[in-house]
Parts: sequence; C-alpha cells; structure tokens
Amino acid sequence: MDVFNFLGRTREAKARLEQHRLRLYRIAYAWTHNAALADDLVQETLTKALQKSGQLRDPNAGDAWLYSILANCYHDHFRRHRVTEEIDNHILTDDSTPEKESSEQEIVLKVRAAIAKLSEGQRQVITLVDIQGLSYMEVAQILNVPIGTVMSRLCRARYALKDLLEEIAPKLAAAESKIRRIK
Amino acid sequence: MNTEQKFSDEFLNAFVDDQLSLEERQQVYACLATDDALNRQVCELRKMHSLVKLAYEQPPVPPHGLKSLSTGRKLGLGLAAGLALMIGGVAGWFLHQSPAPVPTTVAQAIAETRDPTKVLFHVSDGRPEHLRNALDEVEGLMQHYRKSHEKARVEVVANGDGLSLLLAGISPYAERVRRMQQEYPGLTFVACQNTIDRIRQEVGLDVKLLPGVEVIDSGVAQIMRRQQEGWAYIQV
Amino acid sequence: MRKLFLLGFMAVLSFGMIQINASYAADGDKVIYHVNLGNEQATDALRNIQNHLAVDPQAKIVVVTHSAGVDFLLQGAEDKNGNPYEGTVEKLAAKGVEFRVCKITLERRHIDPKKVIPEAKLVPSGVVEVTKLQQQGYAYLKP
Repeated sequence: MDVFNFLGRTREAKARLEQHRLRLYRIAYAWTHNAALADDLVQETLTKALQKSGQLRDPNAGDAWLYSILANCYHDHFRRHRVTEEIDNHILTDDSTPEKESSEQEIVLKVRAAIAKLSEGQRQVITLVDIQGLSYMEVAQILNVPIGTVMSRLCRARYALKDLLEEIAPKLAAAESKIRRIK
Repeated sequence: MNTEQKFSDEFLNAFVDDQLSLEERQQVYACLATDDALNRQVCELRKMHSLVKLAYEQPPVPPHGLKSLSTGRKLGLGLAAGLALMIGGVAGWFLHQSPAPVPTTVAQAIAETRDPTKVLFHVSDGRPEHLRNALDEVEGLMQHYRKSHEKARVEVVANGDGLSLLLAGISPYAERVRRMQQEYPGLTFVACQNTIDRIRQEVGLDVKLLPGVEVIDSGVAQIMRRQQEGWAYIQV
Repeated sequence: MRKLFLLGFMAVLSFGMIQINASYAADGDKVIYHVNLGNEQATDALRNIQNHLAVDPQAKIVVVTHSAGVDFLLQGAEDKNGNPYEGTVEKLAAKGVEFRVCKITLERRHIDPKKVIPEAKLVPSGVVEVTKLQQQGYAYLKP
C-alpha cells in the first residue's frame, strides 16, 4: 500500500530531523544570544530541511548540511533586519546577583558575553568547532569560505577570547578541574 | 608570539581540534614532551575550547520551550529543550494517584470495587513483526491483570500504517484479533476514521474493518481524550 | 525506528503531535523512556537522555525495556560501531537514571536473567511497568 509507505517515510524524516533540534539551537543561540530568535531560526532550518529531505539523504551522512541551512537562515534574517537584534539581557549586564554567584554560572555568562563580542565570522567558526565539533572542512563548507579562512578566524577568535576573559583568570583556574571533566 | 615557535598558531589550533594527520600529531606530541612553553600554549587553547563548549551546554530556552515541526510550541517546563529531541510519544502529565496497595488475600474482593486500570496502546507501525509484538504486549498486559485479579480496560488504537492490523483482507492477524476480543472483555480495538479517509483519498480504496472493531474520529484526538481521562499511554 | 505524530503538516495528513494543555505534574520532571524496538532505538534513547540531563539535571528518568529493547542491557552488548553499551549505561546510572528489564521478555526469548547487567533491575512486565509509572505521574516518551 503506497499510502502506508508515504506516511511512514514522512514521519521518519520528521523524527530524524527533530533529533537535531537542540544541537542546532545551541549554535543558533551562540550566534544570536536571543532565545526567541534562535528558536525561530532553528524552526525555519528544520522546516526547510524537511522539504529537502525527500531529495536526500544518506542517513549516514553528517549533519553539516543542516548547519548550512541554519547559516543561510541566519544570514537571510540579518539581511532583512538591518538593525542589530537585541541580545538577551543577562549576557550584557554585569550584575552578578546573589542567586547567580555560582562561579561556574558566572563563567558561563562571561564566556557567552565574550563570544557575543567577537566578530560574526569568528563567532560562527569558533562555535561550530567547539560546540558542535565539526571539522574545519565542514565549517568551510557550511560558511562557504576557504578552509584557510576558517583556520585564521578560529585562531583570532581564541586569542580574542583569551583577552576578553583575562579578568576572570583566577576563577578560571579554580574551575579548571571541573572543566577537565567535560568531554 | 614566541619567535622560536616551531608550530604556527593555526597548526596548534588544528592540533587541539584533532584536525591534523597522525604524523603531524606525532610531531607535536614529540615536542610537548620537552617544551614547556608549547605545553602552556596548547593548554590555553584547550581551555578556550572547553570554555566555549561549557558555555553553551545548557542554553536558555524561550519561556514556552522550543518549537516543534508540528504546529506551534510544545510544553515547556525547562524540559522543553530536552523534550524537543524526543520523538513521537505523548507527554502525558497526570495528577491522579494510583490506588493504595492491597493485600493479595483480599485482592479479588476489592478488585471489583476498584477503578480499572486504563491503558491505551497506540499502534502506528504496520510491519507484520511489529504488529505481532504489539499483540504480544497487549496480551501480556491483559494476562498480568487477570492473574492479579485487577480489572483492566485496554484500548488498542490503530492509525497510520498501524491501521492495517484492523483491516479485513489485509491484516495478518485477523484471527488473533478475533480471539483476543473474545478472550478479554476489557479489550477494545479501535480504528481511526481519519486514516480510513486518507486511504480512500490517497489510494482510492474503501477499506473494510474486522468485525467488532470500533471507530473513532481521529486516533490522535482519542489519545488526547483518554489521556485527559487519566489513561496510561503506551506506544508499541 | 521512531514514531511521530504529524499535526497538519501537510494538508492531507491529520496526524498530530499530542499537546496536552491540561495538567502539569506538580511534583517535578519524572519521565519514562520506553525502549522496545532494538539497539538503534536504544542508542537514540541514551543520547537523548544525556541531552535531557544536560538541560535538566534534576530529571528523574526511568528507562523501561522489553521485547528487542532489552538487548542493550545484556552483558557484552555493543552498538553497531562495536562500542559497548555498558559504559554509557553505567555513567547514566551513576547520575540516577534507572534501567528496568521485562521478565516476560527474558522468559519468552529464553534469555538468562543473569546476563542482564547489574545496573538494570528486573520487573515482572515492561508494559505494566510503563502503565504503573504513568499512574505515578511519570511522563511517557518514546525515542
């Protein structure tokens, strides 16, 4: 019965794509630091991916293509909206309220603030590599730049990050052992 | 930057990100054994890598949780981002309590007065071995409750590909379904009208249901209704 | 093998993702992961659970397995890349995730209960367990 296959295939495609949502969301959030916008971008990405899913796909192929779609959605969004999008408040404000004094949480916020300050190209590269673990080659394809550009942006991004985070160096040292446990 | 630096920054970053060939990696390892400055450099890079990873492991999500590929938003309770990964399945949140445990010696007497356990099995996969598994699980459950003298009301709701379980001339288990209907009075097989309509529209076929099979408007709607009435849900 | 409801995804389909607008469990996030289809589903489940805990470390997660879903909890079980499951299961168990194996399945498939890894607990019936947990307020998820 054709209808059974058709229903089944679409269901499976959707299910497979939903698996990627949180991972895509992490990247979208790291790029925009705006939860609502990141949610919208990911939704747009998965919807587009679903439309294309009929044409593909080797189920064993990597996820890089999804991030290409995300990168395109991201660029389209900012082409349409000339003003800089509002960044979630907690990233920029410097107040550590008593509730947030957990030093790990403070580090997290400071790192996010530093990432937000990077240039767009550096931010995209460093997040795709560090959060999603994509290879330089994949990142080059996703962002449509030469691999040399990926490497130099990453270099500069990590230097910039180091500078931006200098002020919390003592806390970082304290948290070092915790970080080592993260794989 | 160190003028005596053997490896470029790009090279070291690539080392930290595992983008080097085996030989290239071995070169770096060889130097790391003796070069303190190199060690510090690599360490710094690794630290940056870990920090970025840490900073986004638990990103904040919008108040109502992440969207889904179905319409609108899913429920968010801080779980939303995690739930967004979950496929299929219904998240049913119940507030009712289960009956207090009773001694087996009086189980039979009390069973008659207790509310029956209500379970909805959802079948949406039409592959024969899957259907067979589903029927096995349903029977297993019915027998368990029979043995423990508990009343159970069980509905098997079939939609999508799973509807084939209940179609005359198509179901590989017509006879077993009939037997189970006779054997377990608390058991009902239910077909989804929406799927029936779909089939007519897509394929032009007017399906015939097995005898004794009930029909509801929509499998999905039925599942929602039953959940709100406190039924447990199992997708097999 | 995963299942999903489609709600108005395409005009012709009327399957839907269930959205319960009624009650929320007031007593925190308790979740069943139902695994019965095999190792592929188990691998997905384990990954989903890790992500789940990353977002909500306090979640109380119980993995209920039966039919083909018990395989990954047997001694020496490996995924399709040859990686043993036990390491991941151990780590999750250390974080409070519970794994339960259906005794009826073991009998039916003639699997020696001693082959089940120590991190997993035996229960009389997998589907009954899923039912009972829901009666106790657990949410149900099918990876």
